[in-house]
Amino acid sequence: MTLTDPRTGAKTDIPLLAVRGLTRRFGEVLANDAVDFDVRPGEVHALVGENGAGKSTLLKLVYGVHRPDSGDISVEGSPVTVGSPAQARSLGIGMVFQDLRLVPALSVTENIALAVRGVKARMIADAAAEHGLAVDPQARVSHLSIGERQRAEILKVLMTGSRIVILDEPTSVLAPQEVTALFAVVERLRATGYGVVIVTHKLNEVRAIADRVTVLRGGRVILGGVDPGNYTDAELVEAMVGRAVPSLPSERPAPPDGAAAVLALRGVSAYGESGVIRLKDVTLEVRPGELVGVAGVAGSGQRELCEVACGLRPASSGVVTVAGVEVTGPRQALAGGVCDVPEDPLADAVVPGLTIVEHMALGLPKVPRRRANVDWADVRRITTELEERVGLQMAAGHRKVAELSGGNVQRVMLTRALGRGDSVLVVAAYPSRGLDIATTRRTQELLLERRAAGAAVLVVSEDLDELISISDRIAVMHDGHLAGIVPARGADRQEIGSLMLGGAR
Amino acid sequence: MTTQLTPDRVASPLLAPKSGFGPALARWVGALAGAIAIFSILLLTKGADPIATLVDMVVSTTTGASIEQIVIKAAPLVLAAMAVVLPARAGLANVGGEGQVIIGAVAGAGVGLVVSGPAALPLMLIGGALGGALWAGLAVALRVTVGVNEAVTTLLLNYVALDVMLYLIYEPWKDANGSGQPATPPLAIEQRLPLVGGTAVHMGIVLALVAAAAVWLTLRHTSFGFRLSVVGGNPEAARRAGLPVARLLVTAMLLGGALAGLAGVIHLAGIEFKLRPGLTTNIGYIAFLAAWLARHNPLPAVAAAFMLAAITVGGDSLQLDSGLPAATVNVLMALILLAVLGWTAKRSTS
Repeated sequence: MTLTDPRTGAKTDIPLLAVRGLTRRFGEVLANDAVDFDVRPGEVHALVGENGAGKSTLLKLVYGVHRPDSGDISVEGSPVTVGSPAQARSLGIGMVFQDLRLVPALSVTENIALAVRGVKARMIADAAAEHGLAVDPQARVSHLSIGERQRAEILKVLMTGSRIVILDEPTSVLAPQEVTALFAVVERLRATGYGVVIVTHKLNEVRAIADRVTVLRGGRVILGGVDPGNYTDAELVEAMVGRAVPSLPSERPAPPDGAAAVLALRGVSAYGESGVIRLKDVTLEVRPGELVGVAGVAGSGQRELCEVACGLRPASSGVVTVAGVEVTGPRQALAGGVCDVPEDPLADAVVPGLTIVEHMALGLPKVPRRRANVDWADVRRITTELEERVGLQMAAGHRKVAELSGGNVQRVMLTRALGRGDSVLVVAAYPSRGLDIATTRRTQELLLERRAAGAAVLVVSEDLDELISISDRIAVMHDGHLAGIVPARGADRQEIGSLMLGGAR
Repeated sequence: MTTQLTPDRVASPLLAPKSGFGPALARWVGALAGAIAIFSILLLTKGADPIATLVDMVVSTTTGASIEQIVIKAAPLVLAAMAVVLPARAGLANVGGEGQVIIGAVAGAGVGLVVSGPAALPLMLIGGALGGALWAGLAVALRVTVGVNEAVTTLLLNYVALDVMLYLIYEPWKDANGSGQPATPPLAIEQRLPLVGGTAVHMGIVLALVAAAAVWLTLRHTSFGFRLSVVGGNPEAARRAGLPVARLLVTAMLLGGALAGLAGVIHLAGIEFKLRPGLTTNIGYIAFLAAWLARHNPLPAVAAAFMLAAITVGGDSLQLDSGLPAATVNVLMALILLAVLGWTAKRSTS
């Protein structure tokens, strides 16, 4: 492939960035084992792999956060040593981190001025227009949506003169519409000769945007810079996971007919955090052995729906019942067999300083006591039991949850909520957020196991494919209303999409 | 070498624990040395010889009589520090130790005015604890009902408490047989705390150490202590786990107030014997400092209380020997606090 260098206009196929035989060990763990990787001008190279595959390590080696034990890095054909992120930037390597690194109290211009000396608002506006990055340079970062912040961060990286743009799991924080906008930006970068590296878990994103894909597993390159078009999804998944991941069984016994609803909402409205009505006159039933998926544009009342069902938010009108009993509060809901996977674990469920075992105690309907103390030996035993039943490979029980990575926090939340064998209602908000392919699959199986055991299951997800594959019915929300309920089997994506946007059925 | 990776170890190699006892001790020593160095400069500007002054402070605090003084000063400080530590576990900032100490002493004195005989002292102690709890209760009630920040209310209530005491000792409770000074009549002998065998130290220190041990035990080894740390760490998580958040906040604050009230009443019944202006000598504030120095951990807070008591006693001798104002040691205390908080803070990894 021969492309145009954006600065010189010369034709070139020398990789912008190439690494050869990069190896890095952390203690016992070989995080990168002789990794080869390159990105050429005018291409998007996807870097994929499960949690712990070595993607983050590779990025940190390239960006000068860590030094490799052995191996070479070269930029535009010349060997370089990257000793620090500042040096990486001066070599034209730019990184957009998952946790965006902007100062919230400053404007976009001020943030960029921190990285690029002597920058003017006018230059920023020009650069934004040039790269198709819709962001107001005067806006204060704290007022921007997460997607806008990401665009500001990309703009900052571009204005520091980067020609290699590395995006670390950029879509994990974005709503679907924002993903589309991000990909438009990436397309434009590719067309103007930048080299883009995008890290992701999701195969549909690889297919949508990547020219080549490199699969890492256990620190090694399994597929190196191949054209994704030559591989099936199953082959790519197998390369990532290390084994074939069969699709979910599509034949499932139908939920028993005529059984009384476990979760019943009748004409329920509720206020959101800001004191505005966010849930509007919703009537919905979930029967035992039934899994109802909830689809909708982010912020359409999904959060309030979950909270109302768990007794965390009072209904301003209407009645919520679980197994025929009106829900009055979180403690009563917990004791009544309601388990929830929170939408935002760090804000809603993670207590800084407490361990995994202590978090497990918090999810129990009745905490075992021994005299005046919690019976921690018993809680540890229960934790082990839940872990074995659930099989999500949590980190060690004495680890502090707040110090775990997002995916590992989610494993704790899922183990706590899905391990209980006696739950009657499971409310799971975005259960597979931050999880890799194998763990996502296991999570979906667990939700279906709860369903098969006769629990009612309510799952909120932004992934329509996920909802269609695991749900019995899909409830579509729009602006706080229940816009419609469609059977998942043979569901029409177009129809769901138009319901999400408020169109009539 | 296996390449089988556990997800965590690769995800966060930066989070590996690297703090140990040795580095922590080094940071503490460094912080104290820094504070003393700056204090020495201050002494120099006041024309005092810093080395002689510091040596004098140390020597004067290690005589037998001074050690007794330190223990006497430490007793209410330990209790009042626990009054900060316990609510802090639930995320509450109790800046009102001073007011709760005063109201504790006032309530103890009030009980002492009406009850005599062997029942007087126990009732005074209980009264003092209830008084302190009431005073803290006002602040936490405002917090859980209308959401007023308790740091503000507890601080402001300190001034109200002082005025309540001043009103009582200038008017209704003034000692008619006294020399005209605003003070209550002295406590009867049986209303005073007994001394610890053969020393000048009153039994308040025993009470204080028992209370500190109880606070430690409660926070560390009871389900109540666990619930408090959940509420303090993330109230929303506590609510979602079905914990009675408001009730836990109220209980923690009432217990804190009771401990401070107890500090006030042992100070009264152990050493002061009457209410007078300037009764508390800033016990509540110094204890607040002790609790912060100890990062709200009960046992280190006991050590910090003793250290600050020693500095206070050393400051008294400073005034006598070098002619420097006793307030000079407040500078030292403040420097120590800043240095310790600044230098021993957990550094976030980049």
